[in-house]
Amino acid sequence: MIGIEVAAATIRLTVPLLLAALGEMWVQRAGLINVSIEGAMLIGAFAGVAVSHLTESALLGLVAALVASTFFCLLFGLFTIRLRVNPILVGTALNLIALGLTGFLYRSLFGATGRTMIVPPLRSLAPESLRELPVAGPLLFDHTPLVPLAFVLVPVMAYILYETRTGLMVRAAGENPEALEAAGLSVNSVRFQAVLVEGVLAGAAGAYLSLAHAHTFIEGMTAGRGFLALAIVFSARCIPLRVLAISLLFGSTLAVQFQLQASGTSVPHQLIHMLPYVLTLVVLACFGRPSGRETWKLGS
Amino acid sequence: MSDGPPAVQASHISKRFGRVAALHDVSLEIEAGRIQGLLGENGAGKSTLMNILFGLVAPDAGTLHVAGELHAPRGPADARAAGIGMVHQHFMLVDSLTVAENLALHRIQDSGSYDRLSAVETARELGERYQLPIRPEARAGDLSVGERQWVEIVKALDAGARLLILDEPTAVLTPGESERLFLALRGLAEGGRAILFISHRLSEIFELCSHVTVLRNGSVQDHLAVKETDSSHLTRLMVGREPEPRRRVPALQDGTDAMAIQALTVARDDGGPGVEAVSLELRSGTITAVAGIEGNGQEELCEGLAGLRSPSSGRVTLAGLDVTDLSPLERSRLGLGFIPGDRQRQGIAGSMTLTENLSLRAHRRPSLGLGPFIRPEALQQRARDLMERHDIRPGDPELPASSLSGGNQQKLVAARELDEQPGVLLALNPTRGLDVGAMDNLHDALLEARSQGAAILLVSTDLDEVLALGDSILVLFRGKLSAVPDSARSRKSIGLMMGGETPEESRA
Repeated sequence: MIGIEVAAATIRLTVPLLLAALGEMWVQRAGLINVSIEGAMLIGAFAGVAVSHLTESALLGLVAALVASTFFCLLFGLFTIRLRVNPILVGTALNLIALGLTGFLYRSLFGATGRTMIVPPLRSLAPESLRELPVAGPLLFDHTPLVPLAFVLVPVMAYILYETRTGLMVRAAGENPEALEAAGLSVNSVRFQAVLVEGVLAGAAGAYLSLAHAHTFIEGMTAGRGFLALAIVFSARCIPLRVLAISLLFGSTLAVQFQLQASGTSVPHQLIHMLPYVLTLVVLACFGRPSGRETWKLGS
Repeated sequence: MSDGPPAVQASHISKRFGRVAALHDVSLEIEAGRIQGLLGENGAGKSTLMNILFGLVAPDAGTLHVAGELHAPRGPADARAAGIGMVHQHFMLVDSLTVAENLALHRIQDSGSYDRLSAVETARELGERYQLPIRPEARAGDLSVGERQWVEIVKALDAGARLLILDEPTAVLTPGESERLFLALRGLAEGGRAILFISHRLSEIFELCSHVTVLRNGSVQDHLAVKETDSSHLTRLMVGREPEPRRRVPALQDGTDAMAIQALTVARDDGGPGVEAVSLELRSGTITAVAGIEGNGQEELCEGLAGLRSPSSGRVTLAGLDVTDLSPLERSRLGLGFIPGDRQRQGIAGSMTLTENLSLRAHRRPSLGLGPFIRPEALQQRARDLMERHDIRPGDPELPASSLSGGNQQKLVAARELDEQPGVLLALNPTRGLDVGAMDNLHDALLEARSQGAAILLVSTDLDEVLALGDSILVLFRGKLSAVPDSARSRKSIGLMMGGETPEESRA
């Protein structure tokens, strides 16, 4: 049974990483690096909880999460694409703003009463008979619609990237923006669209954390998952299938980490906590080196 | 067919950049069906004129007419719509996309849908229509420079170009590829297109163009029919003075072995072979010149010898010592100098001053520094001396190096390296992008170093330079070196070797 629990947990923990990483992959393919994806997820997580608490509707909460995170990413686009500020600087500032703003709003809207605010959760759409199946139930059906969506997005985005004109433009914008301009197309608008895509996906990732997973908001609840998504994209060199593979690797490490904690081993929990981050460094050292052919042109 | 208005007419164009007049009252007509040459040194205003035609730069004064209609492009898109196509000096291709995808990128605005198979089909049709040998399914990054140029030309023609502007298109081609290009251009001109061919090589103007316009210092010197002029007249117009014949000074007899390279193999950035099992001896007082098309291992060879890339196998000895595993600094202490190929990136630190740039090697000398400290006045005094001796202008040692012209930047690099009195000097494309005057200066500097006993390895994609300076000549092709026998020491046979043919074949 532990095997199934870990597998189910792997899926649960992979989904937010995968959603965020796919968004970040899209933006990096278009030639930007958005480190404020962490903040975008946090904004999405908070907006989702706030709105579903006020409206008693998880669905409206999800919509709010997508909108808020997209708006937040548009700010990133405005500063980096339109005003040409260094993207790392903008991203870092936005991360700090997101952390402070969500904490402040959470306390002022819902009070620091110490009472945990529980919101209606996003639920699986599968009928109960399927959800209660042994093995297949927890693995395949007992998930919110965001879970299949995340996995389906991998081939969909790969198809768009390699087989459509949108993909052609995104890849050209990232690799040789001058060539795109020379073709009479606007690099800025391609990049803005990419930032929008990332906003939606980061919002979904944040909403998944708060609405589907925790059913509440906790300050800083993204806990570095946005940065893990960045590490995933770098290690995967922006290739969709590799993004999936490395997301699963990180998701399973998180699952094992929680399993270890729950099993009450004598290993100090601080060490277990470090596991995913140590793994990040190892994976980056192995796969994260630029290959020379793929370069990211920062804020060009 | 030239009865109508000219395909493109530029009238009284002027353009200033700050205090510099880039173009002054330039007029030019390009007739349909004609290949018009534009000749001038670097900095003569060729690029500015071209950028004005293509809508990248707006003129301060003057007008453009295309087929009789006023043309005031606000950007490349306008110029393209008016039928002006440009083949850029550095190609605008996305390396990871295939040729077909690159071409599709340019059709994307008007094609409703895109799919890979029909893009390949379209690309094949375009290649056939314009009779240019493109490979639709190859990745742009894997193409030779010549092939990339075909793609650029097809791209421009596909956009409906009636005037095709080519900016120094042969600089990166083998003589054979240039022939192929000229053939294609003649065909296009016969088909009624106008072609503006920009070059500073006289031989190409004579071979290809029917008319030529000479620019110097931003002004038109003359418009000429090529048949009615000769090369010394054109040179005088272009340079403003009589060309000096270069004197060939014989090399020192029997110089000693300064550097020996044994079976050196150095990998490219992407892991592929850069140079493979290359062996070579550099003798003091001798210039060993290596010819070859760009991208055949020049960078890897020079950087491997300078210690900037570690070889995967082989041995390098410098003054009798094995330096294969030594750092660039240790090699430089043993008397190795390096004039890198990309002066902006590797030769100078642009935001640092001339003094600082000139001190990058010498600051360790006891007379110029004290322990961890440097002596600013001594460094500045030395910089002044060097700048005077090497005629680096403007003469203010506290200017940032990036404010210098390309020629002066290169003099700065050469001055820094030569002042160390290297026993071995590596020079990679040392005169790329320099005008005739600056080129002469640098050649003089190399010959001077040779007469003082330096062993010089000159790696250059400029065949004329190799022929003029090399005491012995080798050709680098796909990472392999082959010696050019004295009997094959001609443009033609070296050109064949640069395309991969063996010297035996080339002699036949």
